[in-house]
Amino acid sequence: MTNNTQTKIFRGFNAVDLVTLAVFAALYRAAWYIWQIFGFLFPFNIVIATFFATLAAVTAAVIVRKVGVFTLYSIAAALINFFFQGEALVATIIYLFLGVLSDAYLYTRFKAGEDPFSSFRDMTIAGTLFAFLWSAANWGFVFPVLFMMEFTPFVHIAVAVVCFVGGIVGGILGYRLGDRLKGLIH
Amino acid sequence: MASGGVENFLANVGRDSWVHRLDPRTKVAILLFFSVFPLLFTDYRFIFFFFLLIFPLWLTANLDFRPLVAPFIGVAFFMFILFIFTALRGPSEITNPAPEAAHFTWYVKFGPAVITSHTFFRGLYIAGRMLVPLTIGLFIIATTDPTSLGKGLRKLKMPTSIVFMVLAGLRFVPIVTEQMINILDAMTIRGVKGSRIERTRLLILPLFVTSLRRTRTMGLACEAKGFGAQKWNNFYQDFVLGRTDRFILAVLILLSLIIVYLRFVAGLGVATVGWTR
Repeated sequence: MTNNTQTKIFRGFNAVDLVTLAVFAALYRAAWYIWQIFGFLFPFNIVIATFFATLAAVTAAVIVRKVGVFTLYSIAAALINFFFQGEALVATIIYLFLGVLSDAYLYTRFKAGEDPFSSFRDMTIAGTLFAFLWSAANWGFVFPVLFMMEFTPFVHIAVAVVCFVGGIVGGILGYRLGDRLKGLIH
Repeated sequence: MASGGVENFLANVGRDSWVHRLDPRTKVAILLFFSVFPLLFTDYRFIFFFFLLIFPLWLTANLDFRPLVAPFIGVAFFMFILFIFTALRGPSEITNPAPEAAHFTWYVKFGPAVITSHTFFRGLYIAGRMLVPLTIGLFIIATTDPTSLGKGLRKLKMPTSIVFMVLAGLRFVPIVTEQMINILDAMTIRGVKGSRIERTRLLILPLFVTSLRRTRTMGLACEAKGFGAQKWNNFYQDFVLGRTDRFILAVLILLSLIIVYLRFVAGLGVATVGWTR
């Protein structure tokens, strides 16, 4: 019985799922075009990056509907970024794990017998966790330590919080977008 | 019309040079070497050494640099931002009692901002140390067919699903970018007015729908060819490390040992560039 439940929670990803995730990772990469326009606002233009990253992640989750989707999306986005623009390897390794908390949350919801992919609340929480890790990794390590960028504590905290909030908004919109896309892509 | 504006990152893949002919595993080794080792040093002379190492690679790879201008501008802009954020300080920098900061030889004031010799060179170092790691991926992807790179990653025991996603993603980025520019052109032709934010809002849904429709067909084709049955573990093409590959790998191993010795045993390559408050 337990094995059956486990099998049901961790369903394998088929080629269509993987292609869908790759498309969303590519869409996130293509969205760089948009926030590079706002480069003069740096570091606050990174809010747009967080927004799109979470939007694409949650939309992909609503369409693919399998536990592990956030992690695979993070891996695809990080590796595409690494090969496409030569992101720093250390940063890439961190980015590989950005979806772990969200997937852990989805796993617990499945264990509780829920379908988190149909629940606005669950997908918002999953998106929030993704945005949290995204902001924490970037503003806790990548920018201040790896790139050695110095901000005043106020700017540092402000930009981290704004990124986090931007990510939550992206997650909320991602759920709506995923719901609409499901009916339009077939 | 729109496709003319698309940055075709893969335009150089079909050219021929000794770099193009390298085994993908050797290229992954080059990628790892230049992504990791420059970050170990804080002395600009050592960072310059990595620049000297990578420069001949760019020059001898028979590349057409025009398709690479846009990503280079992106990297340059990012490094400029890094430089500005590091070099431009508040007026208190002049009276900073920390030993590194206090020994500046010149300073320039721009209203409330100050650049000292210390912040200037630290800015150069901070920006410069990212130059090699941020461009090596671009170099590898410009000289390697993604399919070949994927096979190389599979040979290095990376899971098929991950390799499949990365390959698909690398293929899709130009497609999706082209799609996005087509939609933006269509908006312009139809007289859509409004701010960039409004245009972006109108862009998202059609971009997602058309991109997914165009690409999911590929997923279905892969399933039809046995992807889901895990039958994609064999290779028709056999990879053999040639003489050049073995030479490059030997040089990388030798350099790695020398670098580890210089940095961690001899303690060289570390300059006092840190901020001490």
